[in-house]
Amino acid sequence: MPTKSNSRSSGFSLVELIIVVFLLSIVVGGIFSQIERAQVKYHVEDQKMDLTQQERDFIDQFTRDLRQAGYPSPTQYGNRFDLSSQYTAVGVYYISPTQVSMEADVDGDGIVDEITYTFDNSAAPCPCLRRASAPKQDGVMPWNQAAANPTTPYTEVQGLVAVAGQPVFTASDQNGSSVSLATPISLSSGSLTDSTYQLLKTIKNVGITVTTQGNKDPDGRKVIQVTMTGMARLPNN
Amino acid sequence: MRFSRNRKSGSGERGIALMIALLAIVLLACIGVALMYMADTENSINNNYRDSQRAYFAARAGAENVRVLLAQGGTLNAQAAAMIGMPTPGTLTNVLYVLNPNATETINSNTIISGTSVADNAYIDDELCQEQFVNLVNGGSPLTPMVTAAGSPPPPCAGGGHIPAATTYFTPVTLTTADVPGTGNANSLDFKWVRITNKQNYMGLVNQKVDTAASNDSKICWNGTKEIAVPPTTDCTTLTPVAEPVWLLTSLALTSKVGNNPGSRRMVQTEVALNPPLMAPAPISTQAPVQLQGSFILDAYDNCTCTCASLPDSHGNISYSDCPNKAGCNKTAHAIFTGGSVNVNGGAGNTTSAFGNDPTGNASIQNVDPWPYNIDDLITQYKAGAQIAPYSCTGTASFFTAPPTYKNCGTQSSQNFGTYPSGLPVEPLPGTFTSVTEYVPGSVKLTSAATGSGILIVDGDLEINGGLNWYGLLLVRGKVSFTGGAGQDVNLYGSVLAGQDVNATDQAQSDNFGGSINFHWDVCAMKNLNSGRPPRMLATHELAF
Repeated sequence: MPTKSNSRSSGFSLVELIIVVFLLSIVVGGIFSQIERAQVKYHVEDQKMDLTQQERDFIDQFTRDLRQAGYPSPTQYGNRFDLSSQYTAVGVYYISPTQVSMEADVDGDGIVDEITYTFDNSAAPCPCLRRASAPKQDGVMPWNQAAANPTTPYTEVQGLVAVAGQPVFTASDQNGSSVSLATPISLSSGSLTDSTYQLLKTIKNVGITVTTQGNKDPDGRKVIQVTMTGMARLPNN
Repeated sequence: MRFSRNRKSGSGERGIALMIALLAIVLLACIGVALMYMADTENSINNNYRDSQRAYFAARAGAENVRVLLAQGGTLNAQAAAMIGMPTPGTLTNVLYVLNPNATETINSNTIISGTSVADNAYIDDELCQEQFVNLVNGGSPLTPMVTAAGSPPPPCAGGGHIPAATTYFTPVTLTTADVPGTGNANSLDFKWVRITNKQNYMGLVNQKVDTAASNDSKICWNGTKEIAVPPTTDCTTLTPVAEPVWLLTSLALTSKVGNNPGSRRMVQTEVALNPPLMAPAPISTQAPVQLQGSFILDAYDNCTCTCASLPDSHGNISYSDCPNKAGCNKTAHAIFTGGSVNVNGGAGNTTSAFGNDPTGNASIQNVDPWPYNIDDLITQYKAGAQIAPYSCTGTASFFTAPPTYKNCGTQSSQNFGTYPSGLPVEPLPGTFTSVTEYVPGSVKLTSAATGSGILIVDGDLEINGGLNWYGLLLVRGKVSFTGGAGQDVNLYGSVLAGQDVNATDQAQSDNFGGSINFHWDVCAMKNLNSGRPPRMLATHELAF
């Protein structure tokens, strides 16, 4: 009886141990590979969220600025000021696929602000999107403000990607038809009959498309990219 | 011995298992809590963003809703038109609040003014003090105007001592779902009220006025091209030329609470005004040079204001043609008003104006620079709400290339747009004819005596051949060619207003008028062209402070 008992509790054979270790390694390996995948996914999503948040903040500010563009207009002051006055805003006065310049009283203090958004495609830390803002200098036409009143553009969105065939800024008229920006529309005259002025007045919506990229995913397989599109109507245009 | 060995071995294994299990549970709990916290943060960010957007568009929606109700004949038009002066204590009718509660909230006179801050009462009109209406005074004693001496804006109204008592200066307006969708119901929009006032000369912003020569409390009118200041009790519609009051709409939107998120609060302000009648200054008003050919009659005396004391007709009216020497007729118009020159080419005509009878000379105003009409803007403005002519138009339009291109809507014969009044030149009574605003999307040739009244908008070139009877305005983007009046008595009572051809350098690009045409300027034909249209939005912005 004791002999029988002793033989039963004498331990596992080497073969049994090898089998157990083998099975365990399969199970643990499976579990860890799932954890690894979850972790990769988590890092990717985390980065995407950061990129999305960054883009959304920027697009929110961009659309807010556009909605104020052109306020206050010269007609609100009985036309006693021309476009060079610090009290009157012309709205969007320069637009190309990589730059939008506008005038608007964005902070409600009565003094118009000069705001320029630029897509800077230069080397690190760019490509990036920049925003420059400064109170308008009195007595200087909008298109001369940049020279007379240089401002420091602040980088708002980093890690931008220039995607072929995808302009950063687009414009459309009241029917939603695209307005070509192949040649930048740049105001250089205060005359109401100026054809550029009339063309700018047909722009009722400005769109923005931003593609940013983060690091490669932890597997090193592909780069994380997020694209976001926004559009704002220009109620004062 | 066996028991002892077993106990020793067994107790050790149980301890490790417990430790590992506890560790795993703690680790998992930490991960879980961290994930939930992150998800919650992201959720809050998303909720805030969504609510903020929703509040902004709800505020805009409120202003737009009220704007539509301010159209001539609209629900709020009469009340708004009755606002004569600026907001003043003791006058209830100069400030209107359009209220828009949902099914579970109460918004009334007290809601707008009670509390001392937005934290107390999110519905409070804390923007009112910023407007600096000079007649509105603090509720405290001694009464002091809201305008600060230095011109710097006062702090937002804090209710109580800052705002006069509710019953003394405004009228709350509650509308039905026919006017404000969902009002009073669970599906109401998130705007809570819209304040309507006249716009004041003193705007409060950095001590600026619309007109520095006018008093702070002057009222602002819209004359079609700019804002002008008039004494506070003046009716804008009695001015010459006719103007309309500028209404200031301030719209507050609040979104409801979501969990711990208090909801968003955003405010939008909009200036709107009905467009004054589009009074073209001459029977032919065009940016392009004008070429007259064949026979023509241009009469710049106003057909509807002649008041000579003789010869009333069987209707009791006095016909223009019956007034000796056009006595009593409005004689302010020229025969032609053009951004180019006027040329008479091999024809002979009859031109009548108080300034002379030579269309190439004193009877016309030529080379007007800058050209005061933005035809693109006018067409955009007037085609909204116009009926679209059911023509099959081909091609594409490119308005700002040189030369511009237009769609082609072909040749249309015997067209009727509304009804042409009978009995002219005796002015028709309102209601005896149907006036329309008709939009033709491209160039068109009208033949065989088109007729109608109102505004005919042609988004291209207009060619008329074989007669026309029109009472009102022809608004044309491009070139006008009118070469065949078909010997009708008068082809046009009113005016033709055309633009474009900015780059016209030779007579081939001129507007051509000739072939027995007969145009007669008529103020009455043009003054009621806007009826039923909502007021124009002059400016809008979001309030930020």
